[in-house]
Amino acid sequence: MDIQGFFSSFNTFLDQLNILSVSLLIFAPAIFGLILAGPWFPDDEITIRRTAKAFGWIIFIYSLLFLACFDPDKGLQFMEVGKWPGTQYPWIKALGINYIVSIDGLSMPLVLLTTFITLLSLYASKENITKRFKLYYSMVLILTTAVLGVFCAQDLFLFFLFWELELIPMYFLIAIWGSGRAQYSAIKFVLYTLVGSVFILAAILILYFSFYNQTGKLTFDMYYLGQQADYPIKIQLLAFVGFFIGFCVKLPAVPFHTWLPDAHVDAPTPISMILAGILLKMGGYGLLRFNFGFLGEALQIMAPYVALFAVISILYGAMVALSQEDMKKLVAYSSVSHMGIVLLGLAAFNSAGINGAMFQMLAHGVISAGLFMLVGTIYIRAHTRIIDKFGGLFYQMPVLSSFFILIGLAGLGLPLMVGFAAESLTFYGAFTSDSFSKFPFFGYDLPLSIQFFSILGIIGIIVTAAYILWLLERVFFGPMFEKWKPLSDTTLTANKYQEVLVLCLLSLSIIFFGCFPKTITRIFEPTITKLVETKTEVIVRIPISNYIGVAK
Amino acid sequence: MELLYPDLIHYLILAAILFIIGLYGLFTSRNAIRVLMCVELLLNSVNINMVAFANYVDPNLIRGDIFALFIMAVAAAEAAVAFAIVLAIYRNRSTVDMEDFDTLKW
Amino acid sequence: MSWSQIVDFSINNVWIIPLLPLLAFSIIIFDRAYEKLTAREFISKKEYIAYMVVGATALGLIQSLIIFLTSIDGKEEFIKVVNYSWLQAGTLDLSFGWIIDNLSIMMLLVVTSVSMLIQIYTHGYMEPDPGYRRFYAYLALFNFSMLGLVLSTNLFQIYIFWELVGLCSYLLIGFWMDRPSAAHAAKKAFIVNRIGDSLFLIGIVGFLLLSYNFWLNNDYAFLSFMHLEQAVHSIHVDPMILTMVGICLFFGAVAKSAQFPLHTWLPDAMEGPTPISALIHAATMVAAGVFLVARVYPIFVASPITMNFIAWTGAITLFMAATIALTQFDIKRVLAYSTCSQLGYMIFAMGIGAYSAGLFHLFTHAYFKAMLFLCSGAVIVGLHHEQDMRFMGGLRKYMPKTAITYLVGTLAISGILFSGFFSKDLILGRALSNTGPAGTLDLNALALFSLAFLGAGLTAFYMFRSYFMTFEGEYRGHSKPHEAPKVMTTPLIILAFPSALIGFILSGFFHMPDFTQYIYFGHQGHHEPNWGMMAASLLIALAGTMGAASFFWDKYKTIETTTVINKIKPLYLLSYNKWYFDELYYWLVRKTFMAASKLSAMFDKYIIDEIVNLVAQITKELGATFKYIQNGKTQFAVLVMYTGLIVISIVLVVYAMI
Repeated sequence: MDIQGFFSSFNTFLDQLNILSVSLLIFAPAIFGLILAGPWFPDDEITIRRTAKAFGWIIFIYSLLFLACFDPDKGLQFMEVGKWPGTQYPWIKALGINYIVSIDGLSMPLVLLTTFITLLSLYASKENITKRFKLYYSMVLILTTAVLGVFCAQDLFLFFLFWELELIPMYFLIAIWGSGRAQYSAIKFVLYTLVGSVFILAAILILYFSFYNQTGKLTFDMYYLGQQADYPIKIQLLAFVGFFIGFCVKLPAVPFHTWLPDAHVDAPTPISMILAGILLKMGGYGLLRFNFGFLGEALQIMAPYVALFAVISILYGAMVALSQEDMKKLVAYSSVSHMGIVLLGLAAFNSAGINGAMFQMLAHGVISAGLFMLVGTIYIRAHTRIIDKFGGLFYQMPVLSSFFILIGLAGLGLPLMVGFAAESLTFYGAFTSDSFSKFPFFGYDLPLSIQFFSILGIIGIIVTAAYILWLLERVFFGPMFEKWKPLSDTTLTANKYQEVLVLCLLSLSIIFFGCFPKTITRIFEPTITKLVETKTEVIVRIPISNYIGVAK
Repeated sequence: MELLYPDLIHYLILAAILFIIGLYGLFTSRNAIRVLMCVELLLNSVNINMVAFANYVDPNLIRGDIFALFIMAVAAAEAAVAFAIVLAIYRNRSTVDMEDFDTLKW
Repeated sequence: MSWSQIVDFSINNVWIIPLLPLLAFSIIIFDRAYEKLTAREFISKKEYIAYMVVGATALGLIQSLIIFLTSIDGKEEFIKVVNYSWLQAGTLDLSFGWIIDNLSIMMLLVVTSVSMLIQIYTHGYMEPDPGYRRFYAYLALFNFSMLGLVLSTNLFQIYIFWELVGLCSYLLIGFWMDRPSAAHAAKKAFIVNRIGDSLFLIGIVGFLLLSYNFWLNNDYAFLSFMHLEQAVHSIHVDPMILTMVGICLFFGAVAKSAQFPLHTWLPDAMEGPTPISALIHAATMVAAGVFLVARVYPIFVASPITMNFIAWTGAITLFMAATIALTQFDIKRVLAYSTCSQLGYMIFAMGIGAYSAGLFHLFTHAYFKAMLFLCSGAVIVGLHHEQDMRFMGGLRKYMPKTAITYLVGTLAISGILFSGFFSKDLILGRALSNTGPAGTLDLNALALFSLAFLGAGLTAFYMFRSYFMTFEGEYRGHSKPHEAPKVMTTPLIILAFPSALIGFILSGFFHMPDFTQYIYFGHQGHHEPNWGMMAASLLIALAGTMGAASFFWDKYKTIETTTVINKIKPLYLLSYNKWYFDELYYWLVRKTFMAASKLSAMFDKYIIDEIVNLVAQITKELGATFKYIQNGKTQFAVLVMYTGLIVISIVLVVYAMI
């Protein structure tokens, strides 16, 4: 039997089983979390961790089943009416709030990334978490629910709800299990994101009432707000700015980035992995879904400024990373720099650019998770992260160092690794884009086109190479310090292959998707290209009268 | 002659005077018991209002009277609870001076 | 299996050539990880690793030879291209594939043959090193990347392998990573190459932007080399823009081929083990820049300014590197600068339009320069890791094989009858004919020609200087020299043959095959031997040799070195200090760059973050100030409440009245 035939029969099999429900996918982690947290569960670290890992695998495999049945050429999927638990319910009818969840080309890769990174972070928790295991694992799982909810929600109110919900477990995860100024960082993270959320909420309400003014109907349904509405350009710009600020805080883009280094430095390793690997992607997802998907016209007008933000983030993040002394901070600033590329792709406003932005999010998700994991593994051996205290670690821990070099090189965009494919797609898109050729600046039209900004972005990759290579040189090369003699690849680890397993999975995905990028772009490319060209088509929904709240 | 048959306005003036006296007492009294008494005064001024309105505006359906009854009942209950609280405070701090009751400050 | 089947298989499955080394690399990496994690060996003897890698390369060499023989059989030009879509978004479609044409066949032959010999040699050189297996892994990875580069069908794909060979160079320069200088040199090589690469990338996307409609309207793979000429013709923009794009593309070659002003990484790269210097930093990878120029030649030819820019870059590099090589004492550094200079010749040839000549020089240079480096490696091993020529001398007695092969290489590179003579002569001949017919003098071309001609004399001088200082006269060192083992000398002797003869064999003289008939740009040219030019270049080379002899060959020494040095002290110092480029870059780039970085970090910490904290602080202060309103007194609260009520009522009443 050929592979194609195998997959199609597998699809029909899954369809008949009738087990694929997006609601279940979203809420399963939370249910698992509650199972772990309850008093009925034995309060024993090993049992808790193993069960949590098993839950992680279940969720990951379950999301893979979604991938198996996913049809990239269709729009929203897995929202057939009549299955249980359903994916569409009216919720607060008077205000037009509905519970609608679904998966499309934008959500699918991020859902996979979420379940994947969560699984790996559960593995990475072993060495790093030393207290209150029940609470910890259930918090991580609840966090997963919130993030999956953000990626799958098809109702703006629901989206916002999940968006805010994510803050609560994250606050506790940083504050309780963090180190250093954990309280400060946790509060900074929450407050900063909340400030951003205010702008998002304002933008959501702008769209909501503008739609009401046009049609006399109140609804938060993304389909109606996004596809069926035709907002006046002033409204679009207003909403655009609101969304943009809110998502730039999360992304983060300079100058809204300062929560990130603090949060990363003080969060425990697995939480840093989740933070960099998944949570930052929520910002990028929002930008793609709303600023690009809903407010395309505004994006075309604002593209010069988006490009400006992008280039500042890329160059400034890299420059600041260059002179960091703390490894974790360096990786955090590299996140700022890399996520700037997402903005650049957005500013390009063509298929290649936006696809590149999406791809870059996935690439960065895997790479930064790997880097944080590695920094954590070094930290639990050496109990320091200050770069200057290291030297010549390669001879003591060749395997971990090799992984660090590999993933670090992926971070600087080495070909045949996932970062390169993403970056080159973005740069090719940005350079061949015609999104703007003048930069409007207080009434003057500066002759700066998108090409100029992409050149600056490309120059950013030199600085990226500089800080990553310099880090590698200082930490792994050079003469070995006596102090680090006792370090080894397997110190402290009862199960010594655990870290290697996580890193292998990350490296394999980095190399595989770097060598065969089409396997991953296939998932989101049709959706995005369609969005660039036209608007998506109508899909199955509850009849409109049921759930659009009509004002008296 | 007119004075013998008071109009609605006179009741309202009476209620207002009572209310203002009550407020004055409420703001200035140092003794908690006297504050409570002033609250009663406020409630009673409202009651007068209610009854007066009921009599002049709505003589058939005596809704205002009913409300007045309600207010009396609630006031009785409130007085009972309030005195209990005052007693409890007095037991703890051996004073009923309102100036000393500031444990909720900043 | 019949011969034609074998031929068909080889041509249709040319991807096997790069894939075999990749397979070898994966196996060795698995072996490394297995050993580190379980403390047991997966491959029991380390020789097996050498066999595996050499075998993979040898199979590639055989396959390349088969393809080569097929290609010279046919009368038609032999081209085969296969493309697969690799990354696609909207209308943009980047593909991946392989191309077989005469140019790539030549490069395949060079890469596989030289690297196979060097891999054999490596066994001897790295035998006692604990990193033996890792070294072979990197060698295999390099082979994969370099062969992939050679077989690339389009600009996008060549960029991928361009970076990968850079990675291998990085890993191999920093092979002895416990030496800070090696780690530093590796980083420097990578970053300097990154600078070139990013300009290269700008050039690629710039060219894509200009020719986007061409690729869309035609059914060709995006940016494919086969259709570059058509694409260039389809572009109708200001020629200046195309020139800028061309120069950006050229900067990829500038960095990789160590051309001025991005040449500083190559001499430092000599920190790597000598086989690497021979393979990567002499024969193959650094020549990739020339290969790239050859591949994108149509874009350059379209703009005379770009061509002139290329020619001048080459000319300046060849002259500057030659002057620096005159005064260096580290034998590997002399060879490194000579590589730089010879690459300058190739780039120069490309710039003046001598396409075939430049590639011919690449071809001959690969053999003799690899051999020279391997000789220096043998010397270094023989002298127990002494690299300073001041402590050598008279080694011909101790290591005769090495001395003879080194002499062959020196003659070849100096252009005295051996290989280098023919290829360099072609370049000089073209440069001379560019100055125009008698009477009309093109000053630009004349300046270029004189630099190249002078460079030829300098080449002979510094190469013979190194030969005399190393192998002639009295031994000045301390440890007892010995000849290198057989596994090292055999590749030297094998390499001596192409170094000596390949120039003549492919020169086209006396009914020999003609290299310029095999690889050419545009239409097949026919070159007449220019006897006058040949005599002149031979003479200047001999003059350089005589000069070197009079300075450095004890037997015929007529001039005292120190007196001459004292007379031209500033010039000597300029040359000895490599024209102060390292210092210049240190201050200009590194210092300012780090200062900018520090400044940004301070800005981030003390301005941006402080503003954020300030907002928090203000909120906190406001709270601390206004909390005193909450004085806890019930009566005060009631008073405020009533006041508010009254104010609101008044406002409402007033509002209603208005």
